[in-house]
Amino acid sequence: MIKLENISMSFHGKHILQGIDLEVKKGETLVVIGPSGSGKSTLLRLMVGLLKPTQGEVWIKGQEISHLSEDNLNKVRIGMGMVFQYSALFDSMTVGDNVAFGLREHTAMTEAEIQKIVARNLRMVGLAGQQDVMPNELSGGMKKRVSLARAIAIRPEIMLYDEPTAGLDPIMSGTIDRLIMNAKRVLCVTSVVVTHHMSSAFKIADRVAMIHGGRIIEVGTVEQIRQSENPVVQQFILGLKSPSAYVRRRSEMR
Amino acid sequence: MLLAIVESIGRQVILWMENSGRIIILVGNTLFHLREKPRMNHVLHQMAHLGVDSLPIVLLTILFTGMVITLQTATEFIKYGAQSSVGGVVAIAMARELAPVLTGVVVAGRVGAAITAEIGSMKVTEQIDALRVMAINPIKYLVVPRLLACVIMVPILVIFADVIGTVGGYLVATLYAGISSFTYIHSITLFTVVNDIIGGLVKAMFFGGIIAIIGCYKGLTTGEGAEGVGRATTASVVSSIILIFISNYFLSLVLYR
Amino acid sequence: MNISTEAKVGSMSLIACMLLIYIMIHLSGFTFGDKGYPVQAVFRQVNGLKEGNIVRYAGVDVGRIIEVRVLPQEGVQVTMVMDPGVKIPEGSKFLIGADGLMGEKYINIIPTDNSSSYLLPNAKVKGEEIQGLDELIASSDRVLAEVHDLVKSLNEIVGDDKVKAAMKNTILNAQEITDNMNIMMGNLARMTQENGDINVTVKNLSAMSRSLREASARAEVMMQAVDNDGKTARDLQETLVNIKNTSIRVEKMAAALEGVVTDPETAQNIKDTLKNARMASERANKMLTKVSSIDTKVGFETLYNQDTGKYSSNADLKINTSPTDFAIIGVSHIGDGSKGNFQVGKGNEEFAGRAGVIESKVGVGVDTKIGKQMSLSLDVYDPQDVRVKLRSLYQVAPDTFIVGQSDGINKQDEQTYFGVRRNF
Ligand SMILES: Nc1ncnc2c1ncn2[C@@H]1O[C@H](COP(=O)(O)OP(=O)(O)OP(=O)(O)O)[C@@H](O)[C@H]1O
Ligand SMILES: [Mg+2]
Repeated sequence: MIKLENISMSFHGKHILQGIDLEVKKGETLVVIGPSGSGKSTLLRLMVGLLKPTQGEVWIKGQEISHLSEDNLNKVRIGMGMVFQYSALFDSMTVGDNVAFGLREHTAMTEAEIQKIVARNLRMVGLAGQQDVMPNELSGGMKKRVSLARAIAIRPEIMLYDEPTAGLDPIMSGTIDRLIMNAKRVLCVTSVVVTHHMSSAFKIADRVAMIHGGRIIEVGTVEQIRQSENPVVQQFILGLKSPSAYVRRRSEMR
Repeated sequence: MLLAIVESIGRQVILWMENSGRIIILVGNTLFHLREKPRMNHVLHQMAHLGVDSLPIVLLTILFTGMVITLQTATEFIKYGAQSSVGGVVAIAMARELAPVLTGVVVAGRVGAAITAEIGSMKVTEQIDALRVMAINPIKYLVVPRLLACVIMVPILVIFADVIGTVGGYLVATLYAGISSFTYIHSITLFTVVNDIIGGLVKAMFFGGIIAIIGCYKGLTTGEGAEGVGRATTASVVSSIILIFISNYFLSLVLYR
Repeated sequence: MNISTEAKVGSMSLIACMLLIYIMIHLSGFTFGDKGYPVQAVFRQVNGLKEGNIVRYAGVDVGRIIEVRVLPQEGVQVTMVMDPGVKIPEGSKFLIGADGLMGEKYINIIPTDNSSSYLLPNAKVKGEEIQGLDELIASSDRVLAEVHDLVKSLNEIVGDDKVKAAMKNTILNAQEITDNMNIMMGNLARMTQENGDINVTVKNLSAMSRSLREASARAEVMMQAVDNDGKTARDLQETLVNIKNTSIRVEKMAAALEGVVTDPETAQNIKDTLKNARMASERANKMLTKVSSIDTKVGFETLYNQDTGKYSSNADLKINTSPTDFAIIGVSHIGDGSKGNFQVGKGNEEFAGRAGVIESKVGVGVDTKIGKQMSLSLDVYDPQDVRVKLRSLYQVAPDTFIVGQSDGINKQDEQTYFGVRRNF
């Protein structure tokens, strides 16, 4: 469904990503983890064509998108949804209009049908009846959930989540995790999730990829990642002070 | 030392050419998207927002400009016994130059800044990216309606400006300079021709286009953060005013040969 | 109150459209309802008057010009539309005026008091001519050119060396005047271009009036030389008329400027100008009456000799020094053994007698008018071999005559001529 081949990305000569090869199968949920500033958001932006890689190819549903025109890219993007790290709600529109936006633009649904979907989606993210609120009246976590409701409104085949649970309380995080899993199970959505919450990462992931220093240093199932021999991975998932701390702890356990 | 100066000049030139090229690409893209039916409700919204709301400030500016121009010309002209030319001179100056340029400048300051600030803040809060991810072309969605609104509304504002400027001139000519109202109005009909008005409106269309395109361009290329928005807004106003003045010269050259 | 976006934009656009339509209609000169009535005036020339200029009656705007058309013969026809309700008395004068120094041209109607009827729609009137500055310059150039031509043709007719020498003097004087006139005209021309600065205008004006005074003084000197010569009377007269016109013009302009100027130096200049112009004008006027009594007529005839089948040409110059005194200088059979004529005479048109040299011989003659257009001359000359010449002139046009002539009617070798004569 999504395939990155030998992707490199640099901004103003600064290399952010180097030689990335990654494949996400249909219906699979890939969780991307990695330290702050390692290029996770950049990776998602590459997948949706917001950025063009300096090198390499991006394949979406068997189509190479890195040199498509904006209009042709939009044809691909109709099947994709994205939750932005900072929500990116249209602040001149109400919450309801934000959620309805994609439906109004891309479907021939009647207003009544649209309003039904909007109400249901907002209920799913715990914001029932908030249609007429303006985004700047919401908290960061609430915006995040509106953004999610907006992204899933047009029922995309591919969903990209950039830290969907950041800034949410544990209960709400759990709700969102379940939402992501439901989407996968019921609608067979292909998802890429960037998250810093290891618990939710392990809960929702089919596979986990870890980015470090511009490269993917480890890809594997949840079990494989947990068992990883790589001290950097272990340091990250356990939240240790340094990689050597893990090596010391492991030798102690033996 | 010298090399550094030359280099910095070179950098500026390259930057300038790069910007010009991007603006031309933006213009091309925008015109390309004009072939599709524009979103009328967006255009209408922008027309109200950018055009109607600018009317009071345009009227105020041009009213006083017409008054001061008449004040200056009337006293000089009366010295030479040419008081019967005052109305015509004021009306021609208004129709050909003052109304379009001053309206352009006022609209650039008000509307150009608003366009850049709005699009710029959408850009820094990733709303533009959100649009693109939702398969909406920002040029079609944001630029086209603003361009249309400006190209339609600035000439309409100029019509009002022509009238109010002449009225301002009339007030000063009759109440202050003692020119009879018949003489003033008569000399307008004598000197001014329909083409003076039409030329001014053609100019206004161009100025509207400049304001919209520069406003959108600066918004879409805004740098990071609130500071970036501020800088883009200033740059937008400055650039469009400069462009209005320069293009005004060449438009005058072509229109009033 | 909550006005919808559509209503806002719609009402603003609607008002703009209405304003635009109103402006367009207003500017293209379209008026509703009563349009007024047209009047045509014919001018010889209109000094740049054009469509859209206004018409004033006693200083009040009463209409505008809608058409300026050049007629094939009559001049320029100006059609104006009078505002409805405006009544123009018949016999009013139509003049072309200008507003200030750089103002628009307009038609000025000066009302007349003694009129009981008014101009009807489509009335046709004749415009009064004011000699414009440009025309003055052009016409004086023309006059000066004519002076040259005249002197030249006189020179040709009177091929005598002595006369030539006498004339050279006159020509030199005429040239000097011409030069002065040229300087003056140059000043005038420059003035019309530089009329932006009043000071410069006034300076030019005073320089001009000075050269005008010089020209008139020189003309006076020349006058004395002419008195006993009489040949250049005609050109001199025209020069004087010219000087007079120019000085009147200068005077008028200076007077017009006087009201505008406040600066004392400029005012003084204008006063001097006025004095100079007046002096030149007076002098020219005085000389003009003196000259006008000297009437010179040049005549030229071509005759066909029936007997020999040859053509012969005669030329003469008749100078009236007083209404009853005259002199004739002439040449006959030009180019074919030219003979000279020089007679002095006394008499009027009805009957005149003369004596002097006829056909290079001493002789006497009488001229008498018989009927309105016919006159007869009988000449007797050459005491050694007396010959009698009979001549009849029949006037066919103001300056054109048919000539019948019989020379030596008392002899065997009688010669009969027929031909045409023209007086210039
Ligand atoms: N438009 C850009 N221009 C220049 N540099 C950029 C741009 N976008 C990202 N970067 C740089 O690329 C690097 C990766 O950024 P990215 O946002 O992908 O990080 P991230 O992994 O998402 O971090 P976080 O977990 O904090 O969100 C950062 O160093 C950032 O400075
Ligand atoms: Mg990020």
